Amino acid sequence: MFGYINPDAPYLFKKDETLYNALYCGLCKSIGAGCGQIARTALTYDLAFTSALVHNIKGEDVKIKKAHCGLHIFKKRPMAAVDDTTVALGCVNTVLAYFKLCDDKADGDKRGIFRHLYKAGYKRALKRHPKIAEIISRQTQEQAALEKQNCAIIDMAAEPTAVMMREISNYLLGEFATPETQRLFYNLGKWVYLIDALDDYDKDVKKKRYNVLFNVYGENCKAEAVKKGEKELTFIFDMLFAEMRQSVSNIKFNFNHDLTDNIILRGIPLKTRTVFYGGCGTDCKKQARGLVYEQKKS
Amino acid sequence: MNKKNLEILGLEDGATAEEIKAAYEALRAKYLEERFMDGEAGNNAAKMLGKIETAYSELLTELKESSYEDGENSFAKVEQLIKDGNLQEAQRVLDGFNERGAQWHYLQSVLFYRKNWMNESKKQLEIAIQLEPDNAKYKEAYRKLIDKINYDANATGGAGSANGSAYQGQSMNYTQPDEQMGGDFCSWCAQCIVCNACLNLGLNCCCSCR
Repeated sequence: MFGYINPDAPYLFKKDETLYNALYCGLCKSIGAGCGQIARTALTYDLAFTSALVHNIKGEDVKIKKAHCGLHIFKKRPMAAVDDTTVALGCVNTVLAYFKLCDDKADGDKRGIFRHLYKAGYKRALKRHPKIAEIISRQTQEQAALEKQNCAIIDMAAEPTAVMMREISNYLLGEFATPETQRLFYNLGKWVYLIDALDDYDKDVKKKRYNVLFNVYGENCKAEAVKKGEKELTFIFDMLFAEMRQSVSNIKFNFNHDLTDNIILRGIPLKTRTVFYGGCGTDCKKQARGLVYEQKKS
Repeated sequence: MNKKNLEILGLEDGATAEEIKAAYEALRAKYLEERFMDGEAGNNAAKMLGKIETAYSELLTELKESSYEDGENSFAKVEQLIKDGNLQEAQRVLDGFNERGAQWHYLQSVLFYRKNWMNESKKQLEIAIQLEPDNAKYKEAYRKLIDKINYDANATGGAGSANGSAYQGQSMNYTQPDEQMGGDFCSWCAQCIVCNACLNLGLNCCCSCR
C-alpha cells in the first residue's frame, strides 16, 4: 500500500500512539525474520494499522517489550513481539512493494530498478505464504487489464484493489473473517485506490499514465477535476466513510479499538480532505481551495 | 442455446447478441475471402457461408425469445439470483435483456449495491426514477441510499457500550463543533510531523521520529 492510512495525530491517545509505534517496530522485525533484512526498508505505517486491526479481531494480544534494533542502537524502544500474524503481514508488505516496483518498471518509471532489492524477499514471502502472492498477483493482472481497456468507471477501476484487500483479510483472519470484516477491508482497499488516484492525478496527467479520474473528468489538473467532480467524489468518499463506520460498529472486537477507530473515523476522512482540497483539511476547506486555484493561476 | 449453432460460430453458452454478431461478421469476412480459393478450401468456405448464416439467424431468434419470454419472470429470476448472492449470474441475465426500462435499471442498481459499487448504484437508480418518476419503490430506495451516508456509529452503541467509540465519524464537510483555542496550530504541527515521518520512512533511518 502507499502510506495513506494515517491517524489524526492531535486526537490520538498517548497509549495508542505507543501501541502504534510498537506495532510498527514489531512489523519491521517480522519482515526481517520472514523476508530478509533488505525487505525491511519497504515497510509503511499502513501495515501497522492492519496489524492492530487483525490482532484485535482475532483476539491475539501483542506483547510489547523494550528492545534495541539495528537502527536505534542507543535507546531501547517498545516493540511488539514477532508472531505469525506479523510475519504474514510482513510478507504482504514485501510482495506489495515488489509488485508495485515491477509495475513502475512496466510503466517506464526509473524507480522500477529498485525491484531487484526486494526480489529475494519476495521469493521468501512466496515460499512462506504462496496464497498472499497469488492474491496480489491476481490483483495486478486485473488492474493491468482494466487499464488496458482504459476503464472510465470509478467503482470498476477500484474493484481489483478492494477485492485484494478483502481476500488478504480473509486469509489473515481465517475463521474470524465475517461479512462485516470483508466489507471493511473491501472499502479500505477501495479508499486506498481512490485516494492514490486523486493524489497522483497531476503526475499521471503529466506522464500520460492511466488514471481513472482523468478518464472520468478529463481535466488537466487535480484542482479542476475536483471542482468538476466535487459532488460525485464527495458522495463516493462520504459513502466509503459511512460504510466503514457501519462495519466498525458491527465487528466484534476483543480489545478496545481506539487506535483503529482514530484512523478509520478521523484519520481517513482527514487525509481525504487534505488530498481533496489541499492544506490542513480541517476547517480551512474554502481557504485551502482558494490557495490551490491561485497557485495554478500564477 | 443450440450447441451446434454455437459451435459453428465458435462461441460458448451464454453468448450475448453483440458477441454473436461479432463472431458472425468475422467468420463471414473470412469465408467470403476463402470462397474463391481452389480445391477443397474454396468448396468448404462456400458451404460454411451458408451454415453460419443459418446459425446466426437461429441464435438471434432464440436469444430474443428467451428475453421476451414472460419478461416479469426474468426480472423475478434476476431478483432471486441477487437474493442468493449469485451476482455474476444475475449480471449475465441482466446483460441479456434488450429492452432496458425502469425496472431493469432498478435491478442493476440493486446488483451494484450488493457489489458495494455505491456510485454506480446511485446512477442506475437515478435513471430508473427518471423513467418512472411516480414509482414509490424507487424513490424509497434512493432515499435509503442517500441516508446511508449519515450513518452514525455511535447512535446504536454510544460511548461506553461494548462497541462504543471514543471518536465521532467525519465526512467530507467536517467542521469542528467548537473552535479550538490557539487555532489549528496543532493540526498543522501534526501535519509536519507526518511529513517528517514519511521523509524518514523514505530514507529508512527511523521507526518513528517523534
